[in-house]
Amino acid sequence: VSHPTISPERTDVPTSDEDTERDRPWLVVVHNDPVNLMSYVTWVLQTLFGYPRPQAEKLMMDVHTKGRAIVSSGPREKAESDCYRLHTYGLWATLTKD
Amino acid sequence: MVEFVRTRTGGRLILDDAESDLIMRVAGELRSLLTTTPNTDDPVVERLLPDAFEDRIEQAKYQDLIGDDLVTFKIEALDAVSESLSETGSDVEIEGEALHRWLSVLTDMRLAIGTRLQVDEEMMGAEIDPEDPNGPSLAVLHWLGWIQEGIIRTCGGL
Repeated sequence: VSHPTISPERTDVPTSDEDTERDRPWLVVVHNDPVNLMSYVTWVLQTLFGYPRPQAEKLMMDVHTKGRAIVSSGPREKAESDCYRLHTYGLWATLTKD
Repeated sequence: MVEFVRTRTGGRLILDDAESDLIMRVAGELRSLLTTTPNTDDPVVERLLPDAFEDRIEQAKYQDLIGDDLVTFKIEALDAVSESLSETGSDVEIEGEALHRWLSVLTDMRLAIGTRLQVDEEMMGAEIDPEDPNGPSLAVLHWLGWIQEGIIRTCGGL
């Protein structure tokens, strides 16, 4: 599995925001789409995040039945990297704080 | 006939000439879409290169960060898959980085066909109507998914 060539030395961290806002983790959301197979989405979640199969299947079912699921979270750089890797596998992923 | 062979380190995919040609043809179409119109509002391109942020300013920052990495990854994956098919007479080892590339390519092909046909879950689950002019494309979409599941089962390493 390749990793994105996201530069680690980004410097444009906001300075005027309140610390609490900055510390809130970013959430990586996978959205439902009619094309990707359930077995494939489960495999990607197991492989990318190391989730055990039951956890990956539960997340996949949430995506399927509820339209979306939070699959990982963390600081901005980690969340962006996770989102990028999901995009390389063709999953529809976005980032949010809500 | 498509064959999946498990090996000690991964697996192999064996295709006949027609199957191999079909994959290379779809790969060529996808490649020209990604190389000639990477910045249009084509829904297929939007689906293959999705935004990470809803907020326009955040998305612009993210886009600056990743640059052309995603589209480059996808084009290189298409090239690697096509080259492996033409070089080996359609008997390809799928392990390590090749696994990521193959699954990415098969997914992008399916997403492109599905987005172009505006499929929904009902359409995806239904039998193909022989009268449907989109029937042949839907058949390719399902066939590529069947190959994808075979690769995961044989080479997926779980």
